[in-house]
Amino acid sequence: MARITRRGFAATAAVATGAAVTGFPYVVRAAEEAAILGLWDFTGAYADVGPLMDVGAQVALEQVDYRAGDVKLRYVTRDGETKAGAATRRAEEAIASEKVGYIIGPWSSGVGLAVSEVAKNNKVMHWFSGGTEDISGKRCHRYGFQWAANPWTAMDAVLYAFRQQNANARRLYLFVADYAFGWSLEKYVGNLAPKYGMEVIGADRHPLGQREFSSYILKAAAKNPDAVFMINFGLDAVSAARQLHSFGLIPKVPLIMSWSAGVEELIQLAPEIRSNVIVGTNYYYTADNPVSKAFVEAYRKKDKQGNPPGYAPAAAYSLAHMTIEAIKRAGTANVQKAIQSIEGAEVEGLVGTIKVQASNHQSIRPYFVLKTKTPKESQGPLDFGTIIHTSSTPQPKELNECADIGKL
Amino acid sequence: MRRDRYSFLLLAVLAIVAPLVLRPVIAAEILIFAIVAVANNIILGYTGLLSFGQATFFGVGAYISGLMIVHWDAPLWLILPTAVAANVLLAGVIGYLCVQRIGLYFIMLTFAFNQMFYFIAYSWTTLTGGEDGLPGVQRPEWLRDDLAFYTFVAVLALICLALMKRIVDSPWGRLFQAVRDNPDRAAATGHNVRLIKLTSFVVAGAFTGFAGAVYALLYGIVPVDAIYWLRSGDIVFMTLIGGSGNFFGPVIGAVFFIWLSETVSLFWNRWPMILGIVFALVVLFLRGGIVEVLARIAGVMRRRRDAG
Repeated sequence: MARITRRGFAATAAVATGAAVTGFPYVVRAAEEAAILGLWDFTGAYADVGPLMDVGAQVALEQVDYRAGDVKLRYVTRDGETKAGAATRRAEEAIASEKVGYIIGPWSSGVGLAVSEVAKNNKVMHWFSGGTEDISGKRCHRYGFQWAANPWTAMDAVLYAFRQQNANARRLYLFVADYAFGWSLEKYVGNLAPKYGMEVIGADRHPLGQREFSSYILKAAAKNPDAVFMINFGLDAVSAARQLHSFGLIPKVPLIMSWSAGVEELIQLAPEIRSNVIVGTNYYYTADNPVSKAFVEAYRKKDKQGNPPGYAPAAAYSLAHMTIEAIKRAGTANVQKAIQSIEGAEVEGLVGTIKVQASNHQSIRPYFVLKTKTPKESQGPLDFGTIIHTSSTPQPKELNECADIGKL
Repeated sequence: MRRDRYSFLLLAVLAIVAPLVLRPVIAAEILIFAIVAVANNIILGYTGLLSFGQATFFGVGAYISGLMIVHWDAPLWLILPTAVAANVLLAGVIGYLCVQRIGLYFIMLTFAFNQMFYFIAYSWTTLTGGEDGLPGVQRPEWLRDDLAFYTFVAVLALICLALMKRIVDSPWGRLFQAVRDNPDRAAATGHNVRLIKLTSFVVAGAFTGFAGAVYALLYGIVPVDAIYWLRSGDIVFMTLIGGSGNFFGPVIGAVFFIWLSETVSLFWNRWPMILGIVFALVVLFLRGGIVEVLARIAGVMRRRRDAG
């Protein structure tokens, strides 16, 4: 057995101490890892957007080579099923088995709010993009963040832009998806329209998933509106637009697709249907900033048809981007420090400058309004429109229902 | 009787082991759905009635529990009996109307009531939160820890299963099977067939509502899909896949359904196809569900042992 001499022991101790002071902490830092959960809907009502969102998030992570500063990033996904019960269970499971500290998604507001409760209970950072005001409103908490523009900001931007384009328009007729978020937007439009010299002359609420709009269209036509203002989404909006065109109401009368329409919807409308449409959206792929340009280029390479990204993959990209930014600024995978680092911060992101309000975790970021192009103006099948206005005007403080963001 | 005791003992052992291999909240969810599936089997397996509306009672139980906690911070000893009482009443009314018809019409009535209550929950946003769900359902202080909550659910689940077993083995419970096997003969022997069906429906509704009330505490929110018809479909799936001919079959069905969806979804995005294929195979070749598979395996082993 080799003897340990005093000199040998002292030398070993010195080397070990040196390593501990210099090298070893580096090893520990380098090994620090943050697990991000992409909770996307691969099945259920939004199964069509889940895979696109997954691609969007992957692009953001690949651009930084799965690192946020010294922190290594591990990306895992789960199927949210567009069901709150399943999504919460999967989130719980991933937090336990994958040591997830950060959640991005899902797509549905109702499911997102349920996941937000899980995030709060497990002290996990959660970035969400969707219609509900409650994430940064009455259900706000320190672990939940909203990337989409506030609905008040969105309606204000759309009404302003529409008025700029149609100086003589006065009378708006509304089609409203009949659920809490639709009512909320309807209320904002009713309140904001007089600010721009307009009025709501009628509103029809229809169930989600409505495909037959003829009765609503006849009522709208009888009122002789200056524009049809739609507060509905996805296939509801697409179906309504097609039927409005069949009845001859549009493009004679302008159509407004107010909330988060974009590539996904416009690609489903024939050019003659979308020739006189004002579109409000959280993202459009021609946004003129370096982050967006890099994202569009990377996304089109990944997309099988080479299509540009719509709102869903853009939202997923940006949720991942904001999460990475928070970890990078914190310099650690520690969730609480990452939250503190992003609260009140300004980030150069996908849509331009994004400021994260510390008081309610609402992102103050540009909301885009497009004017669609006529078939003659369009320079290709994916050239849908021109960005005519962006607005970051925040929701007035008195309208925000986040009384107390709470503690970490 | 002795076999039932062993089955309960085995169930108790598995309930103790479960939180060692699963996250406690997921193990608790499995047990909650085990109660629901066994309750559904009282009407499906024991009485021969297929209900596509059990989510009505599950959702109503969950909303009652959630609302009582959010608005009044009510204690559990008040919440759980209230949820049961409300569902007895509700199942009494819905059941009374549904048992007036048989077969397809019975099924469609249960489905229609489910949809009606879903749209009430969806539209009455000031009460239920609508699509966004009802949040802020805080567990009492002594159940905040997930393991404590799981233990609470496990004890309740075992009590519920024992009660349901007692009911189906009682003379009254035997009448459920008599109605299932031959309603005309049951009527000829002087029994009120509709009343028996109704009581079966009410028992199932009460236990399902109870499970819903506990479910509200699980993640601190009552999502609107708790009352959606797809939830009713899941409950039927759990019952059939486990085996509706056996009291414990639906427990196995609940475990299998949640385990399969959790496991397969990790590897394949289109995992519901697997569930569909499994369901089709069970209906075509294994009418007794997983219990039948286990019985066949046991039979083969017994024959080999006897031959050896």
